[in-house]
Amino acid sequence: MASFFVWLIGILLMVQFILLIGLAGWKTVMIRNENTINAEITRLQPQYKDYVSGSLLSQPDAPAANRFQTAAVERLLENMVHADANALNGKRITELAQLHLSERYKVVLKKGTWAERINCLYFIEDFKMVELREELYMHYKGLHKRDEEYRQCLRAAAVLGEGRISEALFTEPPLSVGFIKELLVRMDAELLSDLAGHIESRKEVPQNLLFAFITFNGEQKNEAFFPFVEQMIHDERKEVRIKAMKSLCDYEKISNPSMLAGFFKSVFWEERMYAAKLAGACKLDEYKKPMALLFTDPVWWVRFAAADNIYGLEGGSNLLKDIAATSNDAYARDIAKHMLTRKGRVAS
Amino acid sequence: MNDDMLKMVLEGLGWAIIIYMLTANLIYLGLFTIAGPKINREKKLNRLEQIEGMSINKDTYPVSVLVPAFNEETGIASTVQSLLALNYPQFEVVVINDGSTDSTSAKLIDRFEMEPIDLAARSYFKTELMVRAFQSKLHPHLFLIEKNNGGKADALNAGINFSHYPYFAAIDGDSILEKDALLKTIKPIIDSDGLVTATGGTVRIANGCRIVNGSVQQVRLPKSPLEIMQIIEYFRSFLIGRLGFSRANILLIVSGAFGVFEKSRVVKVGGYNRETVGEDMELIVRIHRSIKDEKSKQRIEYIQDPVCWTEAPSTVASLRAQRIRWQRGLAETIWIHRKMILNPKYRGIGMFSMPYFLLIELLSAVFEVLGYAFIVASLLFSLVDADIVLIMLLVMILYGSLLSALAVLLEEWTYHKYPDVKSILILYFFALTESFWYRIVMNAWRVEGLVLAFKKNAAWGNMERQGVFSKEDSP
Repeated sequence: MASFFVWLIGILLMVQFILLIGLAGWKTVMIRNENTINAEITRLQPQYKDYVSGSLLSQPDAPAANRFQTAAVERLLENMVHADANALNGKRITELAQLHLSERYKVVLKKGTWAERINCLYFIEDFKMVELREELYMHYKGLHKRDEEYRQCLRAAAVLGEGRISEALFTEPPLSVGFIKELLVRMDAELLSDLAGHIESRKEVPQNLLFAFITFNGEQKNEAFFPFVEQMIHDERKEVRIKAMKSLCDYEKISNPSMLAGFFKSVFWEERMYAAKLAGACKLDEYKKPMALLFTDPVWWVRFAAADNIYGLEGGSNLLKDIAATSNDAYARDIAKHMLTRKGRVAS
Repeated sequence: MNDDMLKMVLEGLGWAIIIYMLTANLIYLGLFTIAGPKINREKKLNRLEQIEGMSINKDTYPVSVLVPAFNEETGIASTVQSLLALNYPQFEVVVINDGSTDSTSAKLIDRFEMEPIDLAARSYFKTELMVRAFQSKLHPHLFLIEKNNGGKADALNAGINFSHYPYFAAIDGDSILEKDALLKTIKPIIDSDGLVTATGGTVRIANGCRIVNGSVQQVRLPKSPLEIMQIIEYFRSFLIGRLGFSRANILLIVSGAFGVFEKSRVVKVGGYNRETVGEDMELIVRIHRSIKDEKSKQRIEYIQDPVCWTEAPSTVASLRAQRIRWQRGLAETIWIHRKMILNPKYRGIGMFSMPYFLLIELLSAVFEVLGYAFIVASLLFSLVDADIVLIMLLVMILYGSLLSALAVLLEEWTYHKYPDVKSILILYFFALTESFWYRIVMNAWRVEGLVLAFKKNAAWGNMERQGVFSKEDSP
């Protein structure tokens, strides 16, 4: 028995030593490879930068044709995308990416590991490699699992203007509001307009898609869809009304402020809260008094929203002083004092 | 009792200890088998690309970062500095000074130009009196609360009362976060559309690293063997243990150094428990309990990315105090929730996690100390077969050194944070020595902690800091 354990420990130790030597060797090679890639990036970077910014007309040198080519080009272009996207010519980044990476990515999408495929999808999106649109769509159609690969595939397709994914938003099993917004933010005006047409013309729109579309437009202050969002404040569904109010807070405007009056007395606390937020966001001074009444609302979130938004209104600080001095409600007094000392500074 | 009888009893005891340790080894290997495929699958994933869009996405939930601080004057400013630099769309930092007797508050007020504000906090939980609050003029999302001393749990509860956002992150005052830590940790919550209610990330030890402006610029090994051994311990705990538990949704610990929580869930379960020094683990067990009681589909997840750097104790006294406290916290948590043990209602938590933490994490020190006594006594008095003593010694080496060495290899295979081959060799060498010194000392302290748990001695002990983050290198 003892000899069995001696052998067991000995074998395990030996296996670990072999692994250690292997990993140490692998790390040495990795460090050397990294240095090679960095040297290649340093060599190519000036030319690539000049070409992408437009100061160099002829195409820059091709990267050395070795196994580090893909990594070097990816990092080079990625650095440029992140450095200053506005100052650079995105089309030229796409052109270079398609020239050096497309063939490799076609292979990865078919035969790569899960992590390699996802990394490849990230770069297809970042470099806007439109010539891979068909491969991307076919890859999406072949996916069965709704994991990060699926999500990234849809994100990349949205960036490449792949119209067929609009249909997916209606037919796929429910996608989360957050994820749909991720797709919307990547779509160009044409694709977005097509999608809006679908939403307005169809009787059955998935709830999350509608929510995402309403809130997304507010966040982007998308004027073209402001009337659509505003009319949703009258929808018969509570959740839709709330999303519309949230979106109008982001727009920081409302065409007819009187439509807000009823919401201060709504039976739903979320509507009272958003009424206070919207009055604050749109600087609707006429709603100071209804907001002051919300300081004693039974729901904390409503009270806080009223307190958080009243300071910015004309005469708001005086009203806060008044509440701090005279309110019968202890919390109302506290939150009024708190907001006064914060002087309207809110967390970013 | 005659000699034969004594010999038989001792041999029986010897075999019991051997079987126990082999079982513990097998469980560790089982956890590794569960965690391995996920680590392997994701190790080449581009982590930065994965979270790129989240930093500008307005749907990324706003988070209140709570920093309880008691006499943290050496590192608090650096911790806060690292938090202010977080890449996250909407967050606030709330430092809760839990009645410090040093200049913790003064350091913050001075460095971040903080001025007093009136307090208006909700009262989810009763806490010691909050005395004053401050807000930074430079960073409007930085707050400082001063309260009477009530312990870490009380400070966190006060922070929750004050916080304004639906999720909160709890971070120790002696830790710093990677720039993308919050994004990476909140990702499972967002991806699951709120189904994940709490997440934790991997914590690493910052001793020895080069730190500039509250950020780890270069990962380096410390010089002290005591600190190196703690690095190896963290590898083992996070890389082998937690990921396996998380994958099976039976994770019982989100490190107190850094975790993200859904506030409404924590409020629902009553917040942090002031009566235990293991408040982080106790909260997680209570959340699991509430999820299972409600038959909810919510879960707790752990992400394998190293996102938080913490200062490990660098002196024998402070390490001893820490280990005694950890062991006491574990014992108290298991005692509080003893009804969950082997209770099928709590599924994996009740049937596996709780028994595992009781038998392996809590009692292994007792078994190992018994093993040492057994080996010494046998050698001195030649009462048992030498083979049994040899087997026990080998199994102890397997349980300690070889598993730790495996964890070092796993770290290099996955994250390879240490930039040179020499560091890996040093770590591996120290891992092999674990069973012969470090583990013996740790087990003695853990047994001491167990004894103190029975005595209900609640002192936190000496946790003096050398101030890893305050001894920053110049940029």
